[in-house]
Amino acid sequence: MYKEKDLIEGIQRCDKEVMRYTYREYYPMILDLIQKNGGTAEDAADIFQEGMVVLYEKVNQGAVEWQSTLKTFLYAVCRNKWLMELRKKKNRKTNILEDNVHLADDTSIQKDIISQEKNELMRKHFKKLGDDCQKILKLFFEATSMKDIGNIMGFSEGYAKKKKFNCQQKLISAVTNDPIFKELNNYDKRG
Amino acid sequence: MISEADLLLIEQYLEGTLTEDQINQIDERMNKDPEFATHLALVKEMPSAILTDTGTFRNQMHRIMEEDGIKSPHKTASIKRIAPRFILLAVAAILAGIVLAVNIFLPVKKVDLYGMNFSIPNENLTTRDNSILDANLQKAVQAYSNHNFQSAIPLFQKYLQSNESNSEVRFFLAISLMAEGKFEDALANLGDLSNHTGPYQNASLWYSALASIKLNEKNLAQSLLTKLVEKENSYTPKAKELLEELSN
Repeated sequence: MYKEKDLIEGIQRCDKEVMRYTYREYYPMILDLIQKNGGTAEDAADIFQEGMVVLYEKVNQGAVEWQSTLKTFLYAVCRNKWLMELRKKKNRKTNILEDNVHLADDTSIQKDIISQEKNELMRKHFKKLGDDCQKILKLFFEATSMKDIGNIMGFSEGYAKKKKFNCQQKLISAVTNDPIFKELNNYDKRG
Repeated sequence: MISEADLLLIEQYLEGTLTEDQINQIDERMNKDPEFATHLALVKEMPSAILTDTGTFRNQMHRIMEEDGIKSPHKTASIKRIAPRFILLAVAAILAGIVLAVNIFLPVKKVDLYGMNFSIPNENLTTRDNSILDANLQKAVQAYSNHNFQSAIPLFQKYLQSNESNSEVRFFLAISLMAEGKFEDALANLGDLSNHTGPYQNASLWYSALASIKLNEKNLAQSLLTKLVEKENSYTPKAKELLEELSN
């Protein structure tokens, strides 16, 4: 039995035992939710795994103020993800889920999901950048000074700064031109 | 496309180094200019998006669920439909093929060392006034920037016919040759640059060492890297690492 704080810290550091515990404790409720709302066990596994990734990103954002317990957060994320999935399939009949659960902060949960999907998109395009760009941006976000980045990469400080800007510009442009990003933005505006 | 000035402004805003007036201006602009607001949100999320490793977490979660007999999520469904025995046989055959090919044709460590260290440097000829660049050279620079090395090589070569001593152009010709796998030609062009003091000397020593590794000239690579280590410059840390790896 873990305390809430231990669960959050365990997930943050990708602790296998904590992840296994979370899965054994909470997966059955997600399976039940999805199966009662037109999904299969395979859908439930998919949604649970994606829900856990949203949770992982959330706990890694640092000073997060939890409005709910980890269990209710995970449930709300999976519930919203499944709703989004159903909307994608245009299955309007199931837009209201049969779970008799009142979730106070659906909008903020949806924002967390959209934010996680945008980050996933950013990672996808980051991996498509050249090796130099990936290295410079990683070093920069790890708080390495531009002078040190220049030394590591064999560039002058001025050139390293220029290169870093070009890499950020390329990444922003790739993300904003991705049709999925536009779709996510529309979803975000609709709420 | 985000401008350099906007990116700098956004970074300062996020770092909290702007004055109250500047902050108010940015807040106002965010309300009026959705593109700017989008850019700001992306720059804000960029560090955590890049530094958070969801891949490892996702794989770990996937394994935990599989250990419990939970069917793989949809993303791996296409693999699941193939019989596990067939997958094992196919993987074993592919691995055996790779090991065989690598042992016969390639010295593993050298190929990896080259691949891990070779990167295309950005050309800096464009930072000059374009009007003073020869038309062929302009085309060459453009092709190089687009990583179209096949086109860049003859254009650089043509320019060098009448400007033989231009070390910058010779350096970028050598890089283009390396990118096209013409390592001996690259070494020939880098040779002079490596031996004479100049702005491209250290870079030429570094790329000559990489080309030598690719050509299985371990001793030559070691001697070039040693020169870089001895004279303390921006390539020194990389050269030290590569020297250590070569001696392992």
